[in-house]
Amino acid sequence: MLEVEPQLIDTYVRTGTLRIISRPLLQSGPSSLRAAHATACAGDQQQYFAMRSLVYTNIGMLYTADDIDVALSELTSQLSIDRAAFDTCMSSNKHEQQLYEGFARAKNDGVQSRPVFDINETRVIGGRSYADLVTIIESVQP
Amino acid sequence: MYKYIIWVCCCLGFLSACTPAAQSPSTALPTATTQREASPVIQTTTPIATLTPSRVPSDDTATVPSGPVDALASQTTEGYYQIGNADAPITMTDYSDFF
Repeated sequence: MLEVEPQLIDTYVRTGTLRIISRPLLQSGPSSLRAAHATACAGDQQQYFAMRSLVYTNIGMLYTADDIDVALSELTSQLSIDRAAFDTCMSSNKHEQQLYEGFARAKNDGVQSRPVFDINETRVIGGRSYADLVTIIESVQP
Repeated sequence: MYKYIIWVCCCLGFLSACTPAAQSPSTALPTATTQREASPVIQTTTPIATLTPSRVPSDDTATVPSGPVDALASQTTEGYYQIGNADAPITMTDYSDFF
C-alpha cells in the first residue's frame, strides 16, 4: 500500500473522489500492537499517516530492535512532534483498548489475512498494483 | 655555471608544479569528488516530489489541497483515521498490520 498510496492520493483523494480509511490489524501480536499504538499516538499530534509511513519503511529496524518502544520513540525524531507527549501516550497505553476493539471488528467483518481492501462493496485480498487498484476504483464509481 | 644549473632547476620545478598533467592520480581525485558533490540531483529531486501537482479537478468536485498527507486526515466516528473528504463517493478501507 505504501508504494501505491501516494499515487492514489494525488489522483483520487485530492480530487474528492476517494477517501482512504486505515484500520490497523494486530495479527503479529505485541509488536503489531505497539506499532499501531505508536501510530495512534502520533495521530494525537496530527501525524498518523506520517508515522505509519515511518513504521513501514523502518520495519526491518523495528523487527530487530531490543526495545520496540524505544525504537518507535526514536523514529519520531523524523517528525514534527512533541516526543515527550508521544512517550507519555505510549506508556499510558491510552489507545490500546480501541485498537483491540478495532481488530475484533475487523475479524468480525471477515478479515483473516493482510492486506485486505474494501473498495466500496468490493473486497480485495492481498497486495495489488496501482493499475489493478485503479481498475477496481473506476469500476465501482457511482 | 653553478648558478646556471640552480636557475634551470628552479624553472623546471616551477613548471612541473603548475602543469596539470604533472599532477599525480591522487591529487586529481579531489577534483572529481568535488564535481560529484556539486551535482544537484538529490536537491532537485526532493522539491519535485514535494511539489507534485494534484490533478486539476472538475468544477463540481470537492477537493483537498496538495501538501502533507496528514493535512488531509481526520477521524471517522469509529475513531479510525482517514484521508480525504468524508463524503467522497468511493471509500477504500485499508486493513493492514503495521508490523
